[in-house]
Amino acid sequence: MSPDGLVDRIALGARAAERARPGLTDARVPFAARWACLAEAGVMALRFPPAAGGTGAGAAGLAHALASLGRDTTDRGLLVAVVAHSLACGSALVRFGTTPVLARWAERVVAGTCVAAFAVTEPGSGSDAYALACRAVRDGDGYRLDGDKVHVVSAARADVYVVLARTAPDAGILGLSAFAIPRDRAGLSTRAVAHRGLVGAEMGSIALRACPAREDERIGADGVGGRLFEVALAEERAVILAPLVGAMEAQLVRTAARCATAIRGGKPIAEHSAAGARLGAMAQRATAARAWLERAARALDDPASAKDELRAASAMAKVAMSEAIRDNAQDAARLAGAAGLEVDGPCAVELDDAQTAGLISGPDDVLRELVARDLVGRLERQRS
Amino acid sequence: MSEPDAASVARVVDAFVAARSPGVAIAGDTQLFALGLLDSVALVELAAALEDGFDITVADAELVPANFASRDQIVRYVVGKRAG
Repeated sequence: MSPDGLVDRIALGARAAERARPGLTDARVPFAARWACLAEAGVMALRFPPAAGGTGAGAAGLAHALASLGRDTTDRGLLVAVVAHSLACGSALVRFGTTPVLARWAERVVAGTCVAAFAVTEPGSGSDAYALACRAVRDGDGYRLDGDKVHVVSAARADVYVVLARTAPDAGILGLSAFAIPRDRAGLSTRAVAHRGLVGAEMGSIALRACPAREDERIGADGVGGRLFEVALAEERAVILAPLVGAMEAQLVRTAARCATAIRGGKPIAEHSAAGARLGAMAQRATAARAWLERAARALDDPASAKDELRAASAMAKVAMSEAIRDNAQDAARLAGAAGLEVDGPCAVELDDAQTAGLISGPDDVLRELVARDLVGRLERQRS
Repeated sequence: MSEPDAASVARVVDAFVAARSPGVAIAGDTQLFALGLLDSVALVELAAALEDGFDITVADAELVPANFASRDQIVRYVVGKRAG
């Protein structure tokens, strides 16, 4: 066994991926069956320790599994939905939930026997969670929630929503709390929104209108929502692009094969310097993206990782992977020639997926700013 | 390590706030986050500084207003953690 068990955890992820793979090859199979296939294969349980009902493969095992599945399946959006379910919602419930009802939801999320959605982004605040307007006001023994959430993965399909709302308007970042709201709760409605890229993530919106929440449905203490959000997003951002990182490897093989066999000007495309340089750059980026994914996942799993470093580390990794995915999608389309223009071809899907990858779990521009702030803050503290 | 007194914890908090909001004087009940003197990044960094300075472990679930909204609350939290 490796000193930190990494090899074994990756092996757990690899085995889960192999169990799931046969059930994911046909995109015509209904969502519920494909989700159940992933759950039965143990993919949703990989991140969590046995004490929480998981298999202890950690973020590294999950990242490996999702990259492996992303290489072979065209429905990368479904795999992205697994990350939002497991790493955002699952982490929130497992790490902050303390009541029996939350424990039951945590158990189901870890097992994958439900679909969980993380509802934070709002029309007026975007990814700035601390500017959100959704309110949770005291109402008898519980709360009443009012607000709108957008860009919610699995919005119209989830069984439970982890909703971030403001419980104390004058407390700044300490004024947020999170709630686990079941889909059949009065006052909660959902709407699917057709979107390009990562279509299987089925992003949509939810509306809360005088939606009641019980005290025991609040995840953690009143006011811990800000910290819950940071933990959940650091987890999600590190791994959410794993399926696309895996897909880059298949894209590279496909593109290289074409460049090696298609003859132009009497020689293979790959032997023309401009095309060869582009293909070489694709190989470099695919390798680098995989390294970023593994680095970020290992940081999540390392108990010695400093809490105050994970946010920037996950953000940096997500941006690096997103940029590589985007640049390789563009290069693959160029090297595909006219075939790269086919609406239903792989290049079109990859370009759309790359566009969404740059926005999901926080826009790249925002995450770069976060990294810069962290860097500047550290330098200032070293000087003081 | 001897048990920290309230004053030593307060000094750490004052220095931390001063480094991030220079020139701002705070009182024991100044609402550090409500007034925007500290942000979400600072919350975790402050927790790390308290862990290092007073040999305590700050759980994520303890990063709540009752423990961190003001200097007085932070002092009570740290002294209470050390006292077990």
